[in-house]
Amino acid sequence: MTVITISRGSKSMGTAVADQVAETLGYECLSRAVLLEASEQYDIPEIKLAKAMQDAPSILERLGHRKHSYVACVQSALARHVARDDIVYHGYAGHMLLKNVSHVVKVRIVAGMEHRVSIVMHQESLSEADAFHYIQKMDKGRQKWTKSLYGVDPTDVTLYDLVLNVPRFGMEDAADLICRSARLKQFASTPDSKRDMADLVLACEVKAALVEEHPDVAVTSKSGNVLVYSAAGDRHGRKVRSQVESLCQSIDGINNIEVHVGAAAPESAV
Amino acid sequence: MDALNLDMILVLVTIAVAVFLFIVEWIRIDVVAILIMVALPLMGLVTPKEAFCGLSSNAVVSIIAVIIIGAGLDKTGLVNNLVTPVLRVAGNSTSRIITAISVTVAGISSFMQNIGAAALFLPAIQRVSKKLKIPMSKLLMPIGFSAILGGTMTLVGCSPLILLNDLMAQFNLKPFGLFDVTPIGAALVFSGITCFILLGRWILPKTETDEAEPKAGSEASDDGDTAADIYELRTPKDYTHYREPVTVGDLRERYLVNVVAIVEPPDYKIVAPPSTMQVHSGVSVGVFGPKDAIERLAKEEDLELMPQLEVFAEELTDQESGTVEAVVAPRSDLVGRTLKELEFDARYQVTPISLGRQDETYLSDIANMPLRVGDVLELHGTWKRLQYLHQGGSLLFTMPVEIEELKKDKAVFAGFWLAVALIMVIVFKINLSVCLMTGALGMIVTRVITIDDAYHAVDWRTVFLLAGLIPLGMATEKTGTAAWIANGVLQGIGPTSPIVLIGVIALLATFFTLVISNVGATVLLVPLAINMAKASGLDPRMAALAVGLATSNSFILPTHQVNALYMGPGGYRSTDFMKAGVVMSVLFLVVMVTMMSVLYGI
Amino acid sequence: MTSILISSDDQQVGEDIAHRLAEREGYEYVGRSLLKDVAEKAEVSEEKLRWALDGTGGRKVSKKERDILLSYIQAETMERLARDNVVCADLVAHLYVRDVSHVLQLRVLANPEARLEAYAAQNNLSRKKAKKTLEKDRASRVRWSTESFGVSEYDPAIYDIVVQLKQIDADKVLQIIRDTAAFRGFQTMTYSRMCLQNLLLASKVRVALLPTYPEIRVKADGNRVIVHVKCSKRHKPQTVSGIKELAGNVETVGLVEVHVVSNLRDADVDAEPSPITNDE
Repeated sequence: MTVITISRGSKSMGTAVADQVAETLGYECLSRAVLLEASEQYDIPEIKLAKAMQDAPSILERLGHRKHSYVACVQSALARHVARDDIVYHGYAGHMLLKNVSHVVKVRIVAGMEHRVSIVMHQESLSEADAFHYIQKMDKGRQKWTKSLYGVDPTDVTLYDLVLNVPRFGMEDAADLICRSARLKQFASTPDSKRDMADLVLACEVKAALVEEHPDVAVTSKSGNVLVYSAAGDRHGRKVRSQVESLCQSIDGINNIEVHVGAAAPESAV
Repeated sequence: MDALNLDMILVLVTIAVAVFLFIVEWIRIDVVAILIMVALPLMGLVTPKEAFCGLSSNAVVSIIAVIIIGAGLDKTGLVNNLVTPVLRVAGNSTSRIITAISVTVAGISSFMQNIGAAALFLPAIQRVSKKLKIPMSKLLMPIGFSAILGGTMTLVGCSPLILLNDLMAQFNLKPFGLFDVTPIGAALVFSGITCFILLGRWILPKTETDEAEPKAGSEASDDGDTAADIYELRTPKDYTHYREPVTVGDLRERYLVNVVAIVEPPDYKIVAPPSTMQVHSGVSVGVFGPKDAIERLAKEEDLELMPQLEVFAEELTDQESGTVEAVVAPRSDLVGRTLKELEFDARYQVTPISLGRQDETYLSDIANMPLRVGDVLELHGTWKRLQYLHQGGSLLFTMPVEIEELKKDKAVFAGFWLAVALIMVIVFKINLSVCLMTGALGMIVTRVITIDDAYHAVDWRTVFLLAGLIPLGMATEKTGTAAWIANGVLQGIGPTSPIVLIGVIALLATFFTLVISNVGATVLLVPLAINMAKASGLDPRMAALAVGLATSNSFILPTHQVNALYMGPGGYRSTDFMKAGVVMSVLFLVVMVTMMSVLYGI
Repeated sequence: MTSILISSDDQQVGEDIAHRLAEREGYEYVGRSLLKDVAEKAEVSEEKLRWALDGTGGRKVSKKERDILLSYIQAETMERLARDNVVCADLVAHLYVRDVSHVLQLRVLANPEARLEAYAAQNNLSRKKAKKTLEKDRASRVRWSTESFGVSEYDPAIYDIVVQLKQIDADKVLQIIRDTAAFRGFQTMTYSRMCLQNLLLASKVRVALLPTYPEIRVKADGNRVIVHVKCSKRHKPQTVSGIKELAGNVETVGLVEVHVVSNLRDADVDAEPSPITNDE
């Protein structure tokens, strides 16, 4: 089992490449379907989830923490879906969530500005200058979103295994190269990587259950041993603990669950 | 009454700043005290000589001597030796045990620092709790409160009383004798213990069961699968094939068990391996944990679970190694740091099993949890290594009696020098600080404790706190600020009977001790109280005594060091202290004022 | 045959990949040893060339001198690249070889964890300090590349492929290069070869002009050379004639066009560096 995440700049042929890769490998191509799943499971309108995954939180939203809750639900749905199948995912920041799972090939598609501008000019019927600003605005928006939720710059190439400049390759050659990389032994799933994936699913589920009332928690899981990190004080930690106790009954696969107050969450925490 | 002048304003500002800094703790309290020591002469409120006279004051010298004597007693195990006969007398009854240990602790606390006595007894109490299956929460609070109350039994029992005579000296008042406070202190101890015996059911926190929770490392309990023990497993010959290397830390994270011994190929045995050590193929591994977790480990990692210890039969026997429960001591250098930062496993070569804090036990990722005073660390290692850790003093725990390195032969000397000091005070009526320092010197000379250990034992934080605040008290009196405040308070409360005034003073002392430490409260309130007494015709010595005693009335919040230390092992919350503390505080005030009235005819 | 430019955030890693590729696929390896030839030809010290290339040297190398030194390196590198079948590493060719379709531009990122640990161990630093130092180096590199070539070395859009050596190892990188070089888009064509020749000519003209005219942009199209120069209106006539003379002396230069501008950014000469792209 292999998972390919394709992170793409706006107007850089990323969707077409993802479709081609999925077709070549016989994988499921996944993007918006995750929102549907999350919407069904957590009973949240899809449009709200879509908005949460696109726009960086406003000041009010930051205070209300609602966006964190929506994002956590989408993450949970994505993790669950990806754990089941061979997937090409080209949706919302999947590579951020799945970065610590070894059978995930993290690909980024880039294109030169000229190329992107010409696409926007054609698609949106804009002048060159307007097209340029349009792209800059979209790029800034995505950067802000990713930074606010994950604390990283999505254009940082160290987040990816492979970055391809698609216009240089053409869509088919780019897809071909991605397929060949995905077939590498290094990206084949192993019992350890499957376990990591199962842990990720569990951590996402626990986080989704807690985040609405406790937006600052971070969750890790190792072989079903779940750790909930709360940066707030002891009093808040007690509230989290009481909520956590009930989770053991409602979520399968939890071997042990602890709440650590005041300890720094590791980078791999959800 | 003098009008408010610049000097008085400066003193008031200094007091306000000091109180504020004590409360917020932005700066350590001893640093605040040194700041005061330096600021007062700079502001011209005291002379330079007066500013530093605290360092040579009787109070400070007495405190240093008391600490050294206490450390000497501890080294010889003289105190620990009391535990067994006390428990024999007490039997198995919880209330008798509480009474017996509380009385003993109170008695020892009357000659040692409260925190010293409390820390000294903690391991013994843990042993009793485990053996007789009495919850720690039933034992610790009564005993902790008794340690605090015991400090009121003699004039060297706690820092405020040690300070009292020095503070009264500037008013030319007759000093108190060593045992002048004993009747009051004894009554306080008696009433405190009685309160817990009679009302403990209501004021102590409720536990789920009446049995102590079986701690990992103890004899296997009847819940076979959840009790922790040591097991030996063997990795298959192809364990490392076609997989990422598995480390000791990985096994811990996945299965919440601890590898306490491992073989490094070809046949080198390591006890307490570091978490980064790789687990190789075809090697034996000694693992500590509950049986169900061990079985899960064996199944999922395809390890062979041996029926008994074979390879580690020698290294992991009770004679060579074991588990202890270690409490993070007050003022330990571990506080605020993580085991990972400290490189704990590499430095001490013991394996941390779990961390207990308040009412939670943590198994996962404990190496990254910043430690707090009162945290209980369960550790496994060879006795030799645990001994080394024990000697460091940062953690309080009991070693098996046959292993503990106590200077039993020196116990006689320790007792002798303590007796000498007491006789000098009582019979020959020599100055207290001289007597105590004689006792301390005697212990050093007869090698009960080395001079370096003596230096190490002294809590310099308390010394500088005292030394720094004494000149503030002086300045308060010298500038007339104390009189000014006293008059203001008296005008506020109007004419009252002496007993009511004593009560008011005691209440003020109780409040201030909760926020700015007992020493700070004493230094600030003694001059004030004496001035109030003089203005209203009350014996000023009584007012000073009320302050000296009431500053020990620190039960409501776990700010007292004893309460902070016992909080973790007892699994207490702040609300538990508030509940019991309010009752105890009220009782304290009532008993204290009553006894003072009876004894001194107020 | 495709030429390969290999850039890396770790010099050792880039050189290693380049050497292995040259050995396995029969490419000519062009690397730091080139600096010796450049130093001899241009009669400058090799050390200064290295400073200019690494962005070190501080005040010992002024900006003008650095640009001149880089132009020597650029010209010599272009000369070698024009031969085809070349793998070039550690000469920052990826910053000045733009829009030549048969040149594959690859950036290899070292395993960040391993790199951090190795750096910390080598320089006896704590992990935190090592991380901070590496971040500082990166920022300095971005600054240097932007100042010297108008392009950030860390912008992924200037490369064809960026590979991180985490799960993909060096052998797989060679395989990726082999596979990519076989794609049609990376085959040598007449047009692409011509683009390379144009870059070569432009670099030679820069070498001739920079010592006298430090603020220039040079483009070549066949034997026609277009020079944009920044100077005042007062000096325009002598500047234009001076440039024409110097540029005209360069071999194979036919026509020299000189445009005087007040701001070199107006010169539509090099492709604008692509701004960083983001997720959709």
